[in-house]
Amino acid sequence: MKSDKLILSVLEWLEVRGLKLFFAVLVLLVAGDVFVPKEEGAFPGHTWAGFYAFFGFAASLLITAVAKGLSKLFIHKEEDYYD
Amino acid sequence: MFPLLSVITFVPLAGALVLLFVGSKNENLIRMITLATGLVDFAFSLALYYGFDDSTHAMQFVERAPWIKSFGAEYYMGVDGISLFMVMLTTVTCVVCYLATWTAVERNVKEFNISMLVLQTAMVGVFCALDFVLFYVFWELMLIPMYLLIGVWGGKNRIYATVKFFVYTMAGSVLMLFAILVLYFQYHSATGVYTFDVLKYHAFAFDKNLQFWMFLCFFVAFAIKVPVFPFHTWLPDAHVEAPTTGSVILAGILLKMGTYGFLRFSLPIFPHASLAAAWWVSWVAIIGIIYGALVALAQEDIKKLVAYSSVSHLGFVVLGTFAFTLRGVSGGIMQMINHGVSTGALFLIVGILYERRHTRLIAEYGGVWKVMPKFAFIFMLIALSSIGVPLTNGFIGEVMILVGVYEANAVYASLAVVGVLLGAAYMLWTFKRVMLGEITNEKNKDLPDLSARELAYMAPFVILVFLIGVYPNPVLKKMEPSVRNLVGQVAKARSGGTAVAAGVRAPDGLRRE
Amino acid sequence: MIDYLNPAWVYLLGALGMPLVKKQRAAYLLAVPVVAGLFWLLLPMGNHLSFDFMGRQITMIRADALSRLFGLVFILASFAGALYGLHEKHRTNLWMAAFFYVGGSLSVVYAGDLITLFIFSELMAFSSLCLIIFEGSDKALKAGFRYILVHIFAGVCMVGGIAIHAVKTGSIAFDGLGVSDLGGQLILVGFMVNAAVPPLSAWLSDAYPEATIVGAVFLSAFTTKTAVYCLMRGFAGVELLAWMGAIMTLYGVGYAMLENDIRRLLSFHIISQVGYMVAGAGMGSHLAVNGAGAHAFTHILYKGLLFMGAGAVIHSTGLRKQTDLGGVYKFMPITMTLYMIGAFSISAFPLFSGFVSKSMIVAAAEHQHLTAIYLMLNIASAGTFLSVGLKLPYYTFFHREWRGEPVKEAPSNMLAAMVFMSVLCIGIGVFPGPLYALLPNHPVHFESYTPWHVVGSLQLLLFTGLGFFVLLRFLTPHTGVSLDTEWFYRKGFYYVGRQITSAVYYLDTVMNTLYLSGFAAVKRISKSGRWTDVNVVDGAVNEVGRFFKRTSEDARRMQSGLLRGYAFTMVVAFVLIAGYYLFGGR
Repeated sequence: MKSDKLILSVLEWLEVRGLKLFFAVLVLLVAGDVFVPKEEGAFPGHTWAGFYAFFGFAASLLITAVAKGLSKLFIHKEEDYYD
Repeated sequence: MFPLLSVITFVPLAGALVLLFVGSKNENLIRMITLATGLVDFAFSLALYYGFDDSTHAMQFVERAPWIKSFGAEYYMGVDGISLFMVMLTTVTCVVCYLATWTAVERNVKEFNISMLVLQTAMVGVFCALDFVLFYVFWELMLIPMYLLIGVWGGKNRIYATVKFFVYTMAGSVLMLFAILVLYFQYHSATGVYTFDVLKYHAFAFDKNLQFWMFLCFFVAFAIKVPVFPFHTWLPDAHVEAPTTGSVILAGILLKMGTYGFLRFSLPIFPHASLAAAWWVSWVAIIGIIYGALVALAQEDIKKLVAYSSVSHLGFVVLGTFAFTLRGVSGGIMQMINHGVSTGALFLIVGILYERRHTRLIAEYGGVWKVMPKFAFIFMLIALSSIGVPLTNGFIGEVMILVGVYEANAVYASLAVVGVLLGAAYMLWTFKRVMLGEITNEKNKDLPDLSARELAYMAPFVILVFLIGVYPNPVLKKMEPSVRNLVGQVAKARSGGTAVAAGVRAPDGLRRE
Repeated sequence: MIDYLNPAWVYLLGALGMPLVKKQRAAYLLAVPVVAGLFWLLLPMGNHLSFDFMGRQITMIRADALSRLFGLVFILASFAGALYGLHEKHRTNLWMAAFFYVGGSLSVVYAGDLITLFIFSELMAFSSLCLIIFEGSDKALKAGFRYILVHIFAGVCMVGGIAIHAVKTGSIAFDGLGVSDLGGQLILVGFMVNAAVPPLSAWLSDAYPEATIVGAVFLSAFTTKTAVYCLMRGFAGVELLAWMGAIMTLYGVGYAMLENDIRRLLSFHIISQVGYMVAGAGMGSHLAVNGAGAHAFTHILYKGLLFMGAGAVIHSTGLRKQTDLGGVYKFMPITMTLYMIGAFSISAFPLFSGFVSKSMIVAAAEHQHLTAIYLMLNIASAGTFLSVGLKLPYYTFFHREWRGEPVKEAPSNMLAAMVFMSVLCIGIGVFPGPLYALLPNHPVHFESYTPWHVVGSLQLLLFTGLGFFVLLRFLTPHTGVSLDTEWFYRKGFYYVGRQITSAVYYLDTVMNTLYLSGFAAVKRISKSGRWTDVNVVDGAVNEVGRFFKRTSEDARRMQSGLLRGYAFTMVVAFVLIAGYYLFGGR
C-alpha cells in the first residue's frame, strides 16, 4: 500500500537522522525559552529559561523511580496471584 | 348485594367438589377443570379490583351474617387496601400454578388438584376474614392441603420436611388461638359483648400489659410464617422437598400471611405493644435480611438458595412494616406483592430446570443460556426484579421501604442496604454459575428451550414485573387510605400512650410527599 | 415536535430495532449516529418532556450548553465506534448492548432530574456489562461479575442519596447538589465510583482489558465521561474533587508505568485523564469547568483512538502484552501512525487536541494558585507521555524484530474509524475555536497557543522523552499484576487472617475500602451460618418435632395418623371451650 510505504520510508529517514534532529530541537527549545515572553504562573521559578525542560526530565525520573520502587516493594505480583 | 368475596373464596372449593365426581383416569380433564376454576376465580377477582373504591380505608365488599350465635362468631368478610392485593396475588398465582403443574405431577392427579383448590379457598379466606373464628378456621384449613402437597408429591425427604412445616406452624397457631381467646374474654369483661369481630378489636384499647403478652403470642405465630429469624429453619426443607407448585404457593402466598398478620392484627390491635417492640423486631428483621443473604451465598442447591433469599426479602417487609411510616408500610405491602411475583417466578424457573435435569445442584449446570436462550432471558428479568433494578417491580418496593425505614431510623436503613447488595451478589452469581459460561456438563447440551405452555405461565409474572415497575401508581393509590389509617392508629397510640420505643423517630408518614 | 428530538432515543430505538435489521446492518449502524447527530442539531435548548410522577417533577430532556457538549462528543464517538466494529456487524447482541449503552449515556447527559439519571445509569451499567462478558472468556465473565457488583454498589449509593436528598429538599432537580447533607454525599460517592476515583477505581482496570475489542472502544468513552458530566453538573467547586482529581492523575500514570497489558495500561490512563477532569470540576472556576468539559471532549476522541489502535494490534496479532509484542510497525504502519496521533494528543503536544483542553485545566490551577495541584498535574503530564507516548508504542511497535508469522494490517473499517478520530484530534488541536464555542461558560477568553505555552509544553514533553531514552533499561515491561484496591475484595480477608498468624504486617490496610467483604470471606462466613442453621436452630426444633411425633404416636392408640391426631385435638379443644361456655361460669 502506498501509505504503508510512505510511513515506512519516513521511519527509515528518522532512524538515520532522528537522534540528531531530536537533540537539535531540545537545544533550540531551551535557547528559545530565553526570548519567549513570560506569563504569570503558579510555580516559583517558572520564568527561568529551561524551567520546564528541567521539570519534564526530573518528572520522568521521579515517576519512574517512584513507580518502580513501589512496584518492587509490594505492588508487583506474579500473574496468577489472584487465581 | 352480590357476595363477591364469598364467591371468590368458595369457587375453588366448588371446583374441588366437581372434581370429586370426575374419574381419576381423566387426568387432562381434571387439569382443565382446575385451570378453568382458577381462571373463573381470577375473573371475579378482577371485578373486585376494578370495583374497589380507593378513597376510603373502610372495608369494602363486606358480607356479614351471624354464624355461631352463641359464641358471637360471625361470617364476616371484607377487603381493604391491604388485603385486596393479597387476594389478587392469590388468584393470579394459583392460575399460574395450575398451568405450571400440567406435566409436573403424574400420579394421583385428582387428589393433587383437589388439594390445590381447597388450598386456594383457604388462602383467599384468610385474607378476607374479619372474624377471628373465621380467620382461624381458614388459617388452619390451609395446613392440611399444604401438608399433603409436600408429603405426598414431594421429594425424597418429604415426610421430614412436611412434618417440620406442620409442627412449626401448628405451634404458632396454638399460641395464636390462645391469644384470640384471651382477647375474646377480655373484650367481653370490658364491654359485656361476646364477639370475634376483628374491627371491634382494632377500635378497642386493650390494657397495655395485656397487649404486650398478646402481641408476643401473635408475633410467634406470624414470625414462624414469614419466616423471621430464628424461626425460619422449616422453610428451606419445605421448599426443597415440595413440588414446584407447592414452592410457588408457599413462597408466593403462604409466607405473606405472616406479614399480613402483622398488618391486620398485630399493629392495629396492639399499637402500644407494637411501638414498644419495634426496636427488637427491627433488629431481628435486619439479622434476617443479612443472615438470609449470607447463607444464600453458601448454598449449592438452587431451591434452598431461593428459600433463604425469601428470608432475606421478607425481612425487608417486616422492617418496613415496623417503621410505622407511610412509605415503609406501603413499601412493605408492595414488596409482599413483588416477592410473590418474583420469588414465585424463581421457583417456577427452578422447576423448569428440574423438570429437564432432575437436579437442583448449581454445580450440575453452567452455560445453559446457549441451549435455552428464551429461558435465559426470562431468568435474567426475574433475577433483576429480585435484585430490585429500576424499571422492575422490586425497585419500587425496595426504595419505598428503605426511605420509609430511613425516616424512622437511619441505622436500620443503612444495615438494610447491605442486604440489597448481598442480594445482588448471590442472585447474579447464581445466574452466572447456572446460565453463563461454557457448557461443562454433557447432559446440558440438549436441553429443550421453553415450550409454549411454559412461556404462557411465566408470562403473567414477567408482565407484572414491568407493569408494577413502570406504573406502580394504581397499586399505590388503592392501598393508600388503608395504610394511612393503619399508620394513624399506631401514631395515635404513640401520642396518647406512654410506651414509646427507643430509636423510633416520629413518623412523618401522615405528611403527603 | 422538535422538543422531543432527544438523540438518546435514536440509540434506544435503534437497539430495539437491531434484531430486525439483518441485511443493511452496516448502513444501519452508521445511520443511527448520523440521525442522532441531526437530532442534536435540531433539539432546542431548555427543558422538555416534563411531567409529574408520584409527586415528583420528572424532566426527561434538559438541553443546555453542557449537555450538548457531551451529547455531541458521544455521538461522534459512537459513529467512530460503529465504523470501527463493522467487521463484527452481525453480532446482534453486541450492538444492542452498545446502542443501549450509548442511549443510556445520552439520556443521563440530557436528564433534568435525578430519577431519570438513576434509571439510565442502571441501564448503562447492565449494557456495559454485556460489552464485557460478550468477549466470552472465563476471565471476562469473572471480571464482568466484579464490575457489575461495584456498579450496583454505586447505584445503591446513588439511589439512597437521591432518596434522602429528595426527602430533605423536596426536589429531584438535577442541578448543583450540595455535599452538606448525607444525600448529596452519597450521590457524590456514586458518581465518584463511576468516574473511577481511587480507591474505588479498580473495576475499570480490572474489566476494560477483558472486554471485546469493539466493546472496549465504547466503554472507554461513556461510563467515566458520563460520571464526569454528573460531577460537573452536580458538584462543581467541591474542593475534595480538586484534590482527588490531582491524586488520580498520578495514580493512573503510576500504575500505567508498571503495566504490561496494553489495554490495561490505557485503562489506567483513563483514570489519569479523568483525574484532570475531576480536578477541573473540583476547582470550580469558569476556566476550570470549561477545561474539564473540553478535556472530556478531546479525551473521548483520543482515548477512543488509542483503544482502537491497541485493539487493532490485538485483533491482528492475538497478543495483548508488551512482553510478547514488538516490531509490529513493519506490518501495521498505518495503525502505528494513527496510534501515535492519539498518543501525541493525550500527551498534549501543540497542534493536537489534548493541548488545547488540558492546558485550560492546568492554567486554572495556576490562576487559583493551587500550587500543589498544579505540580501534580504537570508531573502526570510527563508521566502520560512517558507511558502512553513512548513506552507503549516502543515495546508494541518497535523494540525488536517481530517474532512469529507476518500479521496483517488492521481491516479497512478499523483504519477508517481511526482516521476519522485522528482528523478530529488534529483538527481540534489546530482550530480549537469551534470546541471553545460549545463550552458551558461563555465566552471563552483562553489563549492556548501563546508562545510561552507552546515552548513550555514542548520542553516538558521532549525532555521527558530524553528521560525515557536515558532510563530505557529500567522501563522494560514485566509480566505480572499490580496490586490495586481490588485486592481487598479479591484476596484481602484471606490474607489478613494468615498475616496475623504469621505475624508479618504490610501497610496495605492503610487504604481501607468500604467493600462489604472479600467475596471469599463472605463465602466462609455464610458456610458457618449454614452450620449454625442446620445444627443449632434446627436441632432444637427437631427435638420438639420428635416430641410431637412421639406424642401423636401415643395418641395413635386412639386414632391413627398425625392428621387425625391433630383433628382430634382440635375437636377436644372446641368441646372444652364449648363446655366452658355452656356449663361454666358466664
